[in-house]
Amino acid sequence: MKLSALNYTHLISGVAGLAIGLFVIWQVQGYPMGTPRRMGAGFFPLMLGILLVTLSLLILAVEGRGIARPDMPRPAWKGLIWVLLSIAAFAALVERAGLVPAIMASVLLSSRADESLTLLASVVLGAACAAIASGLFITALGLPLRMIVL
Amino acid sequence: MSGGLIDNIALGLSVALTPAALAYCLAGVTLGMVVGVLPGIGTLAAIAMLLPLTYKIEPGAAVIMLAGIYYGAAYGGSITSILLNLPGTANTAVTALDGYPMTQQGRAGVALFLTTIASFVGSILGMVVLAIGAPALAAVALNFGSPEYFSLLVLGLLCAALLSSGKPFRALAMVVLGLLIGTVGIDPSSGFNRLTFGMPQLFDGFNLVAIVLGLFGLPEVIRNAGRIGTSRIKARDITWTSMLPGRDDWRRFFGPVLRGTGIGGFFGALPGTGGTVATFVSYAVEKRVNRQPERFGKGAVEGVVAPEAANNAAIQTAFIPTLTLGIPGDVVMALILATLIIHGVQPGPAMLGQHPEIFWGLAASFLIGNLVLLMLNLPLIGFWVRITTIPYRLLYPVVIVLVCIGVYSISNSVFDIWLVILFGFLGYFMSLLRCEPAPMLLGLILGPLMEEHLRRALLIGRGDPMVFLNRPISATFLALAAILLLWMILDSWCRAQKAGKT
Repeated sequence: MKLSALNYTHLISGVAGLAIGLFVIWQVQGYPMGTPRRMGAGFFPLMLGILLVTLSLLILAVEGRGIARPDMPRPAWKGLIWVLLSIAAFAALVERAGLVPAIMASVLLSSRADESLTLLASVVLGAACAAIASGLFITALGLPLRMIVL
Repeated sequence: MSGGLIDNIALGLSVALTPAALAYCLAGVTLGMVVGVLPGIGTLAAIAMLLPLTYKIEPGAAVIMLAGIYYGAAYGGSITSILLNLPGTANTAVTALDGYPMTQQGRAGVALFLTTIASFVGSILGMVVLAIGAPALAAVALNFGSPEYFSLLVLGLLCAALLSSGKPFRALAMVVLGLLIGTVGIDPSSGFNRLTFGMPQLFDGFNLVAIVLGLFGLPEVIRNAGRIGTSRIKARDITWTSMLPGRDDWRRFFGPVLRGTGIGGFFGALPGTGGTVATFVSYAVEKRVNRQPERFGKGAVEGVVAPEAANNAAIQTAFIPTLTLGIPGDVVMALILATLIIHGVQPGPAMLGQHPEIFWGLAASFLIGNLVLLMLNLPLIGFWVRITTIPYRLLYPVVIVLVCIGVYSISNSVFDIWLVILFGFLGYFMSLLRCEPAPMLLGLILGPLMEEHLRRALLIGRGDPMVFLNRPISATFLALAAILLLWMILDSWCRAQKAGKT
């Protein structure tokens, strides 16, 4: 399989579905199956796993027909990386450092996905966001968050 | 069922006209307009961000507000479709086909005026269908047992998968994946821990809001960040006089609006389908029945008003299967359903009897909300147009922060924020791979219900799966499901063969 095959959506979806289905079937092996009359905890997941494997094989067999060239659009890597990093920063900071640093870090990182925003503008945006969010969520709504953890 | 229609409407109005309900309704529709107008921020993200807030208020008020966001966004989305060729929501994508050409011809005002009236008419007629249809359906569904429910869920999920996507197997695989994700957590009937990998945060299953925001909110931001520029529409281009339609426009208005309402009302009420399908069908029908189909795509009034009426009618009638059967037509309905369940109100045929104030209050709030939208929309059009000029680069970082805070606040759990990242990543690649995440979410929400009904049905049938075929109503649902499945497979097969030859 050449690398360009990765640009065919049916191949990736089919293989991913197959992998998940087989993984589930393997995982539920130790679960109580019960009988059809008294279904055990593993009965429904096992049926779904088998169904997913079947459907994935059908995707691989049928949905690639008639596709002459790669049909996967190019991912927007810049947006993806900055957006996910910004949320990760929020998750890492919100309890350890507080809401204000978490928001500042999140806004600074996410705004990098759009080059037309200057660094100064992102700092101002972050500060405004942090101020309004602190007032709204902590002071007014009383969420159990701290502005800054020292 | 207590009381006649008049009593019920009076009950509904008495609920919807309380100051608190009015305030939530107003907040909902206004926020809906705002997110509808802003390109790149969807209804779902707005609803999911507000979900944590709705846990704290009464279920009736919470649903009134969430529903307001939904239909408010439909009004708002049509504004950007028409003026900027940028549909604010998927439901209004079709409106841009003829709405944007009307703007290019300098008839933006007329298009906006007529879509507002069409949306209003569609909503009100849809609401009438809801008020009459829901009690009737609930009366029928009260006799359903577990076999009937299981078959109905199969049919609903098949509809959701097959009608929303041109790739049947992929969509079905997504439904099954959703059902699988729905089994994660402690099995309610046996207490057995399933697919949790020892993580205590997963014992209650995945956090629904984190999944929705990850699957639907983030991919939207990822796709649009750095790509949406600033619009150049000027508010002063649209004046009151430019809005008045001519006699020719009115002549083209009523037929399409009534047909659109009928089509929308039908598709909305089907379990598993929502407004988006209705808009496409309604546009296609108008093009077919029109004597001059060549005008479509070049600013035909019919092509704008019919899908708008269809969309708004579908939004109203979509509440019929959601509230009377507990089967949502689309993802927004699924979230509203989930909100009710969290509040301990189980939507289903019994809900109308047990919580008439929630159902009729909601129905009455549609009337009030639509009147408010009518007043918000046209007189304030300059304001809405100005909102579209807020640059996206200032908006999306704020949206991300709101997503983080909203998810965290549900159970003060950082784990849920990491889930948003995981599902955002998955959701983005799913959309690149043409795997629609919407059927997956429906599967996820309906999974536990489906397993429970399967378990009970097999118990009734003493382990024999024939129980689903021996009962006439259940067998009818399954037969419909089989016909739908066969038809879609044949259809996609033929298309693939045709594509293979050329």
